[in-house]
Amino acid sequence: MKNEIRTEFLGVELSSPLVLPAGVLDISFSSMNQVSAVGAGLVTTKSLTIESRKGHDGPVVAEVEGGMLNAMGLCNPGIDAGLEELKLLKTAAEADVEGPGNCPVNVSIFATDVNGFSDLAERVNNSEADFLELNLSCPNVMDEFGVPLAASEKTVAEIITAVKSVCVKPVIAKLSPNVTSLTRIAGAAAEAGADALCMINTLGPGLEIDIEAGRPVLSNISGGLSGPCVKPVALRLVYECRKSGLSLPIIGMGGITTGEDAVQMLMAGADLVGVGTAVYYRGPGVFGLINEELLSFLKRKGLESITDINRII
Amino acid sequence: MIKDKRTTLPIARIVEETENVRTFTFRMDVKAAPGQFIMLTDFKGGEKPFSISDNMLEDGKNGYLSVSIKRIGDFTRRLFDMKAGDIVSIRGPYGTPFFIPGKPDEKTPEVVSKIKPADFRPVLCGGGFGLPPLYLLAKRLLEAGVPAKNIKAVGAGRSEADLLFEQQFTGLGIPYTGAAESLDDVSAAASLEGGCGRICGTAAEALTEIATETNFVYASGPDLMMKSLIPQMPQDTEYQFLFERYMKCAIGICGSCATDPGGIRICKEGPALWRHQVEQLEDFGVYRRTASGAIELFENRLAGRDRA
Repeated sequence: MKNEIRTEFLGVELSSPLVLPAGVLDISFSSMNQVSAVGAGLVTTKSLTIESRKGHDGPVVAEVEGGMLNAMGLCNPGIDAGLEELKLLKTAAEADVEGPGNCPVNVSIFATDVNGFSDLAERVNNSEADFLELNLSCPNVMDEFGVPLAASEKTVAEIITAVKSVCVKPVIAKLSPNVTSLTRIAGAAAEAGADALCMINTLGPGLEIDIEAGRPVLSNISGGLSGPCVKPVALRLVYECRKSGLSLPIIGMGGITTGEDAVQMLMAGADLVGVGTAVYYRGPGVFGLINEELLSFLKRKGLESITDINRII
Repeated sequence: MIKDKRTTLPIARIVEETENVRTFTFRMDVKAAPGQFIMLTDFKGGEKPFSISDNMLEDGKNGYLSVSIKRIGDFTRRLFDMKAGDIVSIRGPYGTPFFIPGKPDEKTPEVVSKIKPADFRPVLCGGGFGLPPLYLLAKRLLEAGVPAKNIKAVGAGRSEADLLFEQQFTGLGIPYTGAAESLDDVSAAASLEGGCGRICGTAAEALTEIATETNFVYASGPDLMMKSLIPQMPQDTEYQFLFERYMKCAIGICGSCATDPGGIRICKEGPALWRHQVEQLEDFGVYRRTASGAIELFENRLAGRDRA
């Protein structure tokens, strides 16, 4: 029997269900191309803003038991330079004879209001992007911008409606787990016309204190929590969205480190699976490793395709 | 279990090397390899990478680790205001170190992996602030059995005052060639890459004079200075260069320090890169990425400095 991890997502053929999420190895075309070449089916750019941002001062990361706190602070070269990088990525991927040829790209954008998202979405619509992701949920810029937009059903719906009117590319809403009911927000996003959802952004945020210095470790004081310790929360939230009847495609992420984790995420109801912090534990080659582990699961269970993996609901 | 441990401790000693360079030493029981770096913070905003310049292990227990720091911005100015006993926090050592003969790995070119320590005749070429990590390298080369008479050190700088570590190298029995060109242009001397053309010239000239007897070149310094060495090396000379790029996480996930077009991460696969890796770099000596990830061409940077 042939086992296959190729999959289709919103009309685009992907070599693997694994996704590089925004914020990991995605500043330069080189990093994204490398991740695509080693086995990610879809790569997401760093969240792009109108103007460039240098991000927070260091320390920007702190390893904690079972995971990682990070507060990069949305560093990015700005939408213009980011879309130039996208061109370089597409060219490099096509020229790479050993790579998969095409490199589907999800361009992530961040703004603080409806108009900002619309402006950025228009730019992405005129680019080589395959998908547009709305970062509605960065937990690390609250001092600057207040509570993430993903906390409000109304705001989420307004942004998606506005973006959909200027962008024909599929729109993915990246949602926050740090809300009372993610299911309700997800429902509002679906109703407003989102084509897919991406969940979860980092959890918390959390705090780590250096007791010798008597200071927070991160310069931003708090940072979003990722890594294996958040996986049960991510699985539960994806599952609850499915249980609520949501039928949109979901990119499920949060602590996925192994093929077994990825299978769990697919069983919880995800269509694609994001792999981020695992790059720290297993290196950029983690995408190829998880692909192999997924294949060996399919083989062991006698399944042809990842779509044959039964959801628990 | 946490892999990336942080050590917060008092500064054990501060030694002034030049007006703008000081060596900070910490009592740390950690074995560092030459070319590796640490991330250092004072928890007041900012965490920066510094190459390890010395690492002594006394009776295997009470170790010392040193980094040499140049005063270039707000963060390093704050460090220069600190005294022994003040608290800083360190994580690392990080990165792929320099090659030591007799200890090849899978990336070592075959021709180099076969060289015995006794036959190894390296030049250690440092541009300005690039010299300190080469001092730890020299010590490790001697420990590996490379005779001191086989090793040559070249220090290139904008002025005599920028020629670091002369006494340290000669103290190891390693001849040190200082190549300095004094500059009247204070703004160029104060800048990071500015005035680099002059360092390149002096470094390359010095290398030409001594390169004939060598079979390996280690270099550490600004991109343009390292690049200027390549045409001066006898053909087919293998080399390793120590790279500097904007670093944030230092643990290989953020992508800030990745080079083009292969995505080599200077914090993981670097900072020490082999010739076959260097030859693939498109950004080497052409541009570097800023904190935002934006591309900044060296020529614009130098032009900007000249205007200023």
